[in-house]
Amino acid sequence: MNDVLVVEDLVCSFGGVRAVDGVTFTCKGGQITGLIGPNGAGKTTVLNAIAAAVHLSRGSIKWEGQELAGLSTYQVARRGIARTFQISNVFEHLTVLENLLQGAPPGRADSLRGALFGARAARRWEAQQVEKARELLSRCGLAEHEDQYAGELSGGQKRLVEISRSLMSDARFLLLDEPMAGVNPTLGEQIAEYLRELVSGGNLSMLMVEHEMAVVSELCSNVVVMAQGSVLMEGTMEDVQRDQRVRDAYLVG
Amino acid sequence: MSLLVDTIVFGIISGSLVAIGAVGFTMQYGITNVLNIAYGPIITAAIFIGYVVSQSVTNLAVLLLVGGVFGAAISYVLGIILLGPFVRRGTKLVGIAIVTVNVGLMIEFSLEAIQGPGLLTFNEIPGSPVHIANAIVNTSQIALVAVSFALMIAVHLLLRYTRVGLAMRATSADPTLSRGCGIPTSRIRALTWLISGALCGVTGIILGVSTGAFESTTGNGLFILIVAAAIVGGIGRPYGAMIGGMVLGLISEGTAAVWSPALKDVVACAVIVVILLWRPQGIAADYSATRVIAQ
Amino acid sequence: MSYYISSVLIVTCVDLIAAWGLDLQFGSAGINNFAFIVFAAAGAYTASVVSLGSSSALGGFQSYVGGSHWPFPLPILAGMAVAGLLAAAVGAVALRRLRGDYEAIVLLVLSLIATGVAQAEIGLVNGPAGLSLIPKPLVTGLGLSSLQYQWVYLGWCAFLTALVFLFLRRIVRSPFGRNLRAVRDNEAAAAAGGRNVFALRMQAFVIGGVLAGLSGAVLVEFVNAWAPGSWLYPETFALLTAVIVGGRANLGGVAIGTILVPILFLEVTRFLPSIGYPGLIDSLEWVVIGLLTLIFMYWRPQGIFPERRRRFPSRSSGAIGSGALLSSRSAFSASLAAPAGSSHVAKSTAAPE
Repeated sequence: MNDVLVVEDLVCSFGGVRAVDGVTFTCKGGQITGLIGPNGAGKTTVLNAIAAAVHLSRGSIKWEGQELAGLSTYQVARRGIARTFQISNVFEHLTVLENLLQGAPPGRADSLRGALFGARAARRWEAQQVEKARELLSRCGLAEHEDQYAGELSGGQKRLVEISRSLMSDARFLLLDEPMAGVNPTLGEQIAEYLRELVSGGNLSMLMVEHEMAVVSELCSNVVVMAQGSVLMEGTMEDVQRDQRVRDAYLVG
Repeated sequence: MSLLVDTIVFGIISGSLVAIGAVGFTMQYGITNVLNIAYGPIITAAIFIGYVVSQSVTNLAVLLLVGGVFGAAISYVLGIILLGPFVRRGTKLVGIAIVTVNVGLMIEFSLEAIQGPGLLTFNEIPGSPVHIANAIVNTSQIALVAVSFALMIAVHLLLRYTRVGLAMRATSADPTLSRGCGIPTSRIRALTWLISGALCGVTGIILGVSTGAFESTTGNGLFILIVAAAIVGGIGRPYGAMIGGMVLGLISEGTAAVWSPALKDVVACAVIVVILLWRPQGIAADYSATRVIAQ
Repeated sequence: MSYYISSVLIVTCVDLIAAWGLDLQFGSAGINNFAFIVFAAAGAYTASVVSLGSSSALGGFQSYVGGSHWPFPLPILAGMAVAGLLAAAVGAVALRRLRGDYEAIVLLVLSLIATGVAQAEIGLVNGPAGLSLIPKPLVTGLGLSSLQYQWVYLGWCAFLTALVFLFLRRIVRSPFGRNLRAVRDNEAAAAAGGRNVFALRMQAFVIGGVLAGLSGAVLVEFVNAWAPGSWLYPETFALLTAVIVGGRANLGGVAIGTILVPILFLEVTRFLPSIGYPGLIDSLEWVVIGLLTLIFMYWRPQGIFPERRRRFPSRSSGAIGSGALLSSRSAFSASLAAPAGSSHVAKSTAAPE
């Protein structure tokens, strides 16, 4: 199992405050890496930096050997990295099915030129994507909601739409920002089960920011602990739970 | 040399007008998060009211008072009574802006209907000419500059030294948090609209007295400079608006003196473009979702 | 009477093209272009200047930049091109960083500035007096009576309107159109899905600008005169009212809105007895338009015909393969059906909000 995502000495500062101060860790392929730490540790900022949603001041982020720093959000997405947001980000006025179609990799078919000149090819491409989307929807049980406006779904359902959308593009890496937040425990368990199943295929790796320790120990083979902008330690969940520094950070933070 | 003196003197005169107008506008944005596009037409409405009153009374103080009260009243109606229902149901910010535009249109065209076909002229306010270096100004103009500066100082004192001012600054920074801390944000909103509305009304009176001839679109010309000044100073920041106003006034008069008065608007445009490209001051990538309207 | 009807219909076509252009920007892509009318004016001025000939001819009573005698249909194409270029230039500055109401007010102020510059700089497009005596295209070539010419011109406008409709319908229904709506709904999610948000917004902005230019050029070749008074900033909002009333992101809805607001409403008032001084009715019309917009913004923001929900045809044959997966997921779907726990269920579709 090789290192697919390597973060090295990442620094993000906003108006003089270093939210992320020299963070280094790696994620291995086919695994879920957990990113935990007390509030304000900078976890979401790290995620945002990898997804190019925030600017990084210094450091390097290598994905499959290529440097991500300096790319814009959509460019990172096109390299096979998908993400979810802390508050589920769906397209409110598009149907659930259309939401998933928005996750399909962009190409000639969904460009302006495709709309004007390649209409037939575009329609064929779209039909294929619809098939795939429907399959993903039935996998997570949302098939009967396909024509509903995504804005009308519950929080847990929106979270599933988000995850399914990221799978549409055959993403190879998934950045998850507190996927269990705002979701009831039963549903949370089933989302966790779904995530585990997705990773078992071997083609997908994940970095997950999460507060629910139970979920982290269940899903994450590797855990990175952050506090106040830097990495405290990296290791398995057992190692982390035994570490005194981590305990101190949680009590203090 | 006299060009420079002209620029500075008239720059201060027009700058102080823009500044006081910009302070009101930027307060509305900063504290209540509403971009009030009816601001220009309300300025014009204040001119009309002042014109009507000036048929009987030409005392500048009275006119300013009437303008202020009128501006406060009409802004309150707009900001609290008309916008209230929209804010409560969660209308997005551009929807709020569309509401203010249409209220502004209603005001502007009602004024046009009242005005009729011709231009109206504000009565001359008594005053005597004064020489400053080589520039000739009227004592009434100096009085108006003094009024503007006095109001700016008043705003400064309000914001920095009163509890209300502190509450306003807190609400401006974070309305949700402020309400959570027990600040009566709805009352602060009401006060903001009253105070900024008064500033708007006073701006109208000063503009009317200064320009003489006016019509239903007069306020819009000043509104351009006000928005530019607010953007330059950092939209939502009263002190920035004051500085921005003076800067715009000086640039504007400088352009008129050196090139031609027709280019004043072009320069305002250029200023807006440059600031937006170079330093949008926190407006960069501002998704509307991150701004919350205080309730 | 026939003259009047054909004139109204021609203006209807012009307004339809313009309203659809604005709807593409505002309704589909979420760009708050409060300066829309400036692009129509750019098209109109360009078409005028390239058909008027040089300014010194005709005694030089109007002064403007450029001037040629381009034959039909080049002036219209020129108008569209200039409007498109202007949109690209403005978009490069305004679309990159501005959003929401801030974007709206900056564009509005640019609109006010544009009017100011056109009025002040006489040499540009003849200042407040504007341009006149703009030739009707092919009027000598066809040798028709003026009434016949009207109907022919109406035919031309109707043809253009139909083309624009088909063009926009194709765009709106395509995956590209969906990308625009996605950017409108949630930029962050769209970018996270690999969409180049800036490029998408620019495309919508420029296409809308080109359509604005087309509407302006076609109109000016009909009314043969164009002055700053024809494109004051409220004109954008007459069109915006049509979009809001009719239903944004719905071509048919916008068409109904256009027919109701700028056309029906403004034309009907023509038949009212004239009260007060000439122009009073016009002013009051605008007051009513403002009021109408407020009423719709509050009680029916999605418009008369709301945005249509896109449904996809169901699978041709039963997909048996996923049956096993479905049954093992049934517990999943059961717990999903009840929106338990947190998160509010979003209110049903509110449109321009």
